[in-house]
Amino acid sequence: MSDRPDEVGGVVDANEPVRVRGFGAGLVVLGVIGLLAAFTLTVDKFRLLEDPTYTPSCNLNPVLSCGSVMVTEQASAFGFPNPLLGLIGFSVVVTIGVVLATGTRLPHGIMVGLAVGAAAGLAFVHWLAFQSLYRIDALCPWCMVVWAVTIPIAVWSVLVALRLRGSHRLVEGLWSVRYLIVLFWYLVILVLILVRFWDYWSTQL
Amino acid sequence: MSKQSKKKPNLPPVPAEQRAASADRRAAAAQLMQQQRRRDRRRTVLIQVAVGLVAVVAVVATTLVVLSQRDGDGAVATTPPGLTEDGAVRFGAADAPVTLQAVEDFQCPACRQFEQANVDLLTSYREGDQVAVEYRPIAFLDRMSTTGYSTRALNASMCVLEDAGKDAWLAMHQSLYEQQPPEGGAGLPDDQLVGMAEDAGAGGAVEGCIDDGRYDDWAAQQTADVFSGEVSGTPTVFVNGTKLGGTDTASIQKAVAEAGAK
Repeated sequence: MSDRPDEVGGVVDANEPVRVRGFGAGLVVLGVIGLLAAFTLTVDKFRLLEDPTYTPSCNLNPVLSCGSVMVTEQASAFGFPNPLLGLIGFSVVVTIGVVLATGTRLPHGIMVGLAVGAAAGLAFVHWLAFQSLYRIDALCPWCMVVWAVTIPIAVWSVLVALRLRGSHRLVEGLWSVRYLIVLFWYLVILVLILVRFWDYWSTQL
Repeated sequence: MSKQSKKKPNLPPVPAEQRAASADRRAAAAQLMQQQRRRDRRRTVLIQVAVGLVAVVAVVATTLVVLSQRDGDGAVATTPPGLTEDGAVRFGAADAPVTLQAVEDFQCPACRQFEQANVDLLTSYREGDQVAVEYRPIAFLDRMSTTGYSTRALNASMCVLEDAGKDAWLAMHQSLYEQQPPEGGAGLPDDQLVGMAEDAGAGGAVEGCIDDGRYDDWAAQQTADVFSGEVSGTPTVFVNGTKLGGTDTASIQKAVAEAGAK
């Protein structure tokens, strides 16, 4: 009888440590944002092909401009425009997110697949960020939206996949600070952008 | 145990109130537990929010302070040698009755057109004894490139002036317009500016001057000074101190003739 309070209080949760509904909802929100960004970039790419003088709406100033970024080689890293990858990838993210958000459990293989795919996206996004900052010398706002959503999608998917394999202190610790991880990631990129384009920002003040 | 307790063969029945009391205790304990966990979670969230906010403020503030110090480390701007009092490079006879002054920015496409359209006219003025030509360069188009090209180009030209004198400056001035980078890009890199400076006649010392941005502060000062006067854009041409409405060849010739050049 003495173990009953524990059962009501803690043991039930310990039997079911990985709750994925909230994560699923997060995937839906982030995936939809990423999808919108990729869609806009794709449409702008079409417009730019139809009319080379077309100025995309996100050409704000020399640093924040997608027109100058979209015409580069890096914008078609695999021989076709990158946002096509985003259309595919974010659609999958949204789909898995919706299923998880309904409380449905998915086979571990699918969660691992999500983690691997998202990690590949993360690597690609960082390559693009490096090219944008240090080779193209311009930032494209919609591309940065894609960077911004890919980071949490990848970090959290990897952590969830690891948690589903079994409880581990390091993984649980990282999971408990998952928002901070993403925040610090953003901070690093923000600082790199500030430093890189300081000449430009400082003349705007 | 569960089988036994289900059967409960030899125990006296637990009185109803006692059962109720034990259920209450259990419920209370469970509630306490839940409150405790909710408190823990709230504390974790609060700690993370606090850590996050402090980190954002600290990192951004530190970055901005460091970067802005990097900008303004030279307290007094070094002025390039060989300029007129108002910061112009002067060509032509010292006692010429007419002085034509052109205010230009190396990043400005209209200045490039001005140079191309009037190159013969300005050359003839420089070589004659009637009209002195003054170039008063400024750098206000840094925002048109991602690397502050306007200032870097002006600085590079002043490095050439310091190192090799006015004629080399004029050659640098010309090649800066010939190779003017488009607006909205990254400008020309410093090493290319160094190459152009050396082609214009400057020696090896020009590289350090260009890399360090020796005259960046002066360029900012000069630009502010010029904009405090009648200039609001480039190119702007003055003939004997009077601002011209147009910068085409005909307007210049007319103004110069009216100013008394023979």
